[in-house]
Amino acid sequence: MAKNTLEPLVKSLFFSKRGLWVGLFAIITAVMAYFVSQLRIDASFEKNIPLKHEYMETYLQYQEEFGGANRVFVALEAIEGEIFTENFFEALRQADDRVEGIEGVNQSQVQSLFSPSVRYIEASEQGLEGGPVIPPEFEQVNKDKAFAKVRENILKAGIRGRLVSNDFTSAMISAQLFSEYNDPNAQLKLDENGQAASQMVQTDYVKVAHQLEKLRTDIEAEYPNIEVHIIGFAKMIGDVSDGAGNVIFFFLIAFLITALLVYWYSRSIKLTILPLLTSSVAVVWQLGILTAMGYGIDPMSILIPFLIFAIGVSHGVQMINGVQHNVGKGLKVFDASIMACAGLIVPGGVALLSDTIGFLTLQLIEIDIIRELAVTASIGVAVLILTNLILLPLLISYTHFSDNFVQSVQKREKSHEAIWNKLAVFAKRPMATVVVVIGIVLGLLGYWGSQNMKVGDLHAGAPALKQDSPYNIDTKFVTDKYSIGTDVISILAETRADGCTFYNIMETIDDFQWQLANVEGVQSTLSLPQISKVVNGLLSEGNLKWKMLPKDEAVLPYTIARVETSTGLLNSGCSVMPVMVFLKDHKAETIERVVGSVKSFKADYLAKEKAKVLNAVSASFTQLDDSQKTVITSHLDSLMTDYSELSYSEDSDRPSLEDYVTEQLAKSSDISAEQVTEIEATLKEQLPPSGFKPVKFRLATGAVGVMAATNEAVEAAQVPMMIWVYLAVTLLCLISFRSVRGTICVVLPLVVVSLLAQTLMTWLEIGLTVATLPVIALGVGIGVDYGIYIFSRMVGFIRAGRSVSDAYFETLKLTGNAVLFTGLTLAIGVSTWIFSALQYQADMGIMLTFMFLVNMLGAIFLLPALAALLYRR
Amino acid sequence: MKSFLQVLFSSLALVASFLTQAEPAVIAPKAKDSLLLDIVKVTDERFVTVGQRGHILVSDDKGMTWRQVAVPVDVNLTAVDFLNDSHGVAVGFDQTVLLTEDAGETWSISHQEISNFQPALFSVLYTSENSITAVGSYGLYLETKNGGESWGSREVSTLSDVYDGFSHFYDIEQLDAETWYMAGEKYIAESNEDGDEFSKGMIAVTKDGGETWEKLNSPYEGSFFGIKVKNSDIYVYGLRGNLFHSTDDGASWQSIKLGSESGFHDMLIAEDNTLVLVGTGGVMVTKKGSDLTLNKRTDLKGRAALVHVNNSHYIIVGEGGVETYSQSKDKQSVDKGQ
Repeated sequence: MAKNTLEPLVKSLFFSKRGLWVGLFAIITAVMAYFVSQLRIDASFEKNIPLKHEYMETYLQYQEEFGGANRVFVALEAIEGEIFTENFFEALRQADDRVEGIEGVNQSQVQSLFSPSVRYIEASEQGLEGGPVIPPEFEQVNKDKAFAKVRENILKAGIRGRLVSNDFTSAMISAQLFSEYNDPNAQLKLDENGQAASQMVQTDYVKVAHQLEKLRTDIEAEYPNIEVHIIGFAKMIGDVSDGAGNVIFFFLIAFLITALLVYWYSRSIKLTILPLLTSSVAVVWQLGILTAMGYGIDPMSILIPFLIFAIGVSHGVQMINGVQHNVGKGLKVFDASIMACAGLIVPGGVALLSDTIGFLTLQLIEIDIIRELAVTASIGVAVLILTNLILLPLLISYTHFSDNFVQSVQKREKSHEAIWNKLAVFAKRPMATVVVVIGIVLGLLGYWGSQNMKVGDLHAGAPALKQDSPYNIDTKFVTDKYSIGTDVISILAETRADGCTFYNIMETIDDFQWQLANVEGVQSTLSLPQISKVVNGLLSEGNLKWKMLPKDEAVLPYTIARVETSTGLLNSGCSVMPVMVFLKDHKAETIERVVGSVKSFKADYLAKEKAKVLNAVSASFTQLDDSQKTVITSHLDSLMTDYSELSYSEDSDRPSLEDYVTEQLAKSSDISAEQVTEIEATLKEQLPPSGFKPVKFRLATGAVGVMAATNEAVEAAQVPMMIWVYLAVTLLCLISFRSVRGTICVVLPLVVVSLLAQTLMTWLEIGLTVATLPVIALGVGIGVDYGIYIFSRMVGFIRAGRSVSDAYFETLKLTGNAVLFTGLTLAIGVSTWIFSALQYQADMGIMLTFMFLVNMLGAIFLLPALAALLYRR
Repeated sequence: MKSFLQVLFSSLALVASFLTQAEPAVIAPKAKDSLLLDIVKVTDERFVTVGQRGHILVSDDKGMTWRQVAVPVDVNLTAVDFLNDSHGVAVGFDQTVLLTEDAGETWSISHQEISNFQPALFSVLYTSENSITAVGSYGLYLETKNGGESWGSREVSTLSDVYDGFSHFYDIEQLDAETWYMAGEKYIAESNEDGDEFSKGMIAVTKDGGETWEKLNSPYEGSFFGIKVKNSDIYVYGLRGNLFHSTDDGASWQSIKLGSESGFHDMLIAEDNTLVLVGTGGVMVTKKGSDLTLNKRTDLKGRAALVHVNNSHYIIVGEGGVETYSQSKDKQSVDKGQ
């Protein structure tokens, strides 16, 4: 191997002033350690969602008015019998008070049997009667009678299945959480203008979760006959961050196993401690920088420091290997360290750089939690370049090896040559051809399998948590006993001002709701027209034949006059009406079916509305010839499509269609001014008095609305992300090897492994989610390391004129141990996650372990085989 | 309840220039669980039920399984009647009349008048090959004498209130070819100089096949939802658990207490003169001699109509869709239809 030209540089820059550098590293580490002590767990709901997605714009716009996806449900269950006991109602009232008292809870949106807004209505000879579900005289009257009345009121109020379980054994409190709220504890401060400054504080979900958990233990302790079930995003995050703490335990196990392995590999305590030390320093720096930048760490990216540690150790092993090899050749430790550092700084740097770039491609995904993960990981890997490629050899240079040790290294290297000889066969035909064929077959199988990979969460309950976690058991309880759950998607029907007083608007919303109610996987639906029908039936003495949407626009407003905005079924201007769709689960297929149904309804509806106008208008253009008619019709058609996308806003209604069309047509060249005037007149004449005001259905709020957006964002990001990762890896290989063939040898095995990883996801029913999407990028970014380490050596031997199999044999002698070992340390570092209580950590653990191990196999077998075929002369 | 003036006002205020066209009913998996308002037995095996959104469902196995058929309208259908085992009629909102000649497989629009107001048909009689009579909201009285080729509506002035207005005609029933009965919403029967008004539930009879109608003496100030006749027995029922019985052609009425406050929407008289009534809150009351049994849907969803299948088997329709019901001496079991 040619003498490394970097040696003098590395020597003069680092090793001649090694005391200074080590001191500097120590100081920085101390500072970073201080920052790490300030590290906080940072979980927010918004971070998990693709805020720029179309659906999420709707979500953000309406979350205060209709409540976003951020609800918690506290369900009390009577273990024996029904809820109608004094004991149960006492507990329910206490729980209701407690929930209202939690900071961050929107008190006006808390609903339970005790809420004044939860009312019933019924018909009598005098007209409509109504009242709170729990009658005011509840306290005084005979309890049996009172409970009978409450039971009846529950049914009349239509809250069975929503606030009371279908079998009357459970009742719930439903509360909405603010994402930020006015801090009641803050002292009133005035801003420069003398106005009271708002003291908005972020809702601390973990704290909310702990308060809810306290509520559970308190109630269950006080009322032994009652069990409490709590679900909702805040509770889930609380459970996740509690579970995330266990990661420390997995880390310790991984640390121990890794230490043992490194000792077994290096046969030296010093050489075991040093890479573990520098890798730990990297983690401290990473977390310190993160804190200094103002980030916290959230339950998802909490795994990244451990990943960084594993990567660090794997690169450290390469360094130890290099030093040992050089010492074995008879060099002094100091010179051996310089040589190893100079020899590894380029391939190691390239490998770590490609990791960094692999992580940075995750920035393309417009979900903050993934971006933060990308930042966290990129910082960590960048830091590794300093700690494990510079600090580590500097520290090693201080050590001394006995002659015995040097001899044992030489002996071991010799003993491994037999193995390397066998492996070198794979770099020679015909074996190479066989391996490549197997590679192609696996690639095709992987491609076929990856086609069935599902997007989104494939299982019921919270996907972050295991199926048998308390949270998911509570989720199952609520979905089994109630007609609702957290799996709700709300589509917002935006209309003109006072939209709910127009029959055609309400009818459209009603038709829309009916279409969705019939979609497979939909459990129940709720919207304002449904209430209107019930009330209209009641207004007509309860005659079911009148249970319909009143066409009479004098009656219609009367049927909904009593519906309050707190029901979440309309806004104060009655121009926005959500259609709530409760789903049986949140599997991606279910969500896709619902979203697909919404989109097809929108398309059909718009087509119908346009056709009405076009028919009316074109019928009155009798004097025009067909070509003119076609021109005008196509203009009108596209203008109406644009018009239907205009937003309805509270204060300024849309312009009328005729004004809009006139304005737009005036700009077009193929329609004369007279024709424009005529079209305007025709529209005015033909349009109904209410005008052309189609309902604008907007996806979506509710927990499933968020999931729909996330699934779409994740699915949309997948291909570009892969393209960028591969582009980055390819470019780096091209630059560092200056060889197209070499790049192919390194990158192709990665592709095969990526495809196999996706097949594994299909097979293990792991969906492509916010948690698993980054794994594929990480797997490629880190997986390329082996290839780079192997090929960077191999290419030197090949260029020196050796055959591919000889070159491979020599490379293995140099680095074979280290590569195998790197794969093992990386895999062990992440495989302990598989036992995590958190499902997404387990999923990430499985995926990464697989990718690290199989990428290693790819680099050992497929890479030299490809080289053998590509470099034949 | 809407006053006549209110009705007149709203019908004038809305210009009908951009009315929705009749649209076909959507075939929906959940149609059999949706609001269904009437059911009829066509043959021993075949049953037809109608309801909201133009839903018509047929069963060929005594109500065990149901199949939604194509219907050219999506308005709420309120009533259905069959002349024989092939010819039937269904009516509903927008004065919609649908005819079938193949036992309910296919339906065609025979009459419809779409407007922004709500002239609805609530009950229909298919009395002979050529004659169909349907009644509905605000005194709507629609008939054909030529099998649906042309329809005429008329005001039955003898059935108006003191202000010459009309309340809703909810039910029309046939005793024989010439003798039909009608029951309906309360109407203002009297008013005095102080402006006090006195209402009565409407009951009426024709002895000449609908040519002339006259009111019968009414025992109740509230609304009637239906009337049933068998031989010389006449029963009217309606709001608040009211059921009245007359054996002297409406001259005098006896109130029958059923122990329920629910409004009754439908009733049938079994061969042994057992009375079965269904209504609001999912009640079903059976009166056999002096024995009363009360059954209620657990979800309190209203029951709108019922039909006898055989022995103690019934099919009931309503807010919860179709349900089959078996009544035995000691126990009752309720099954949802498939």
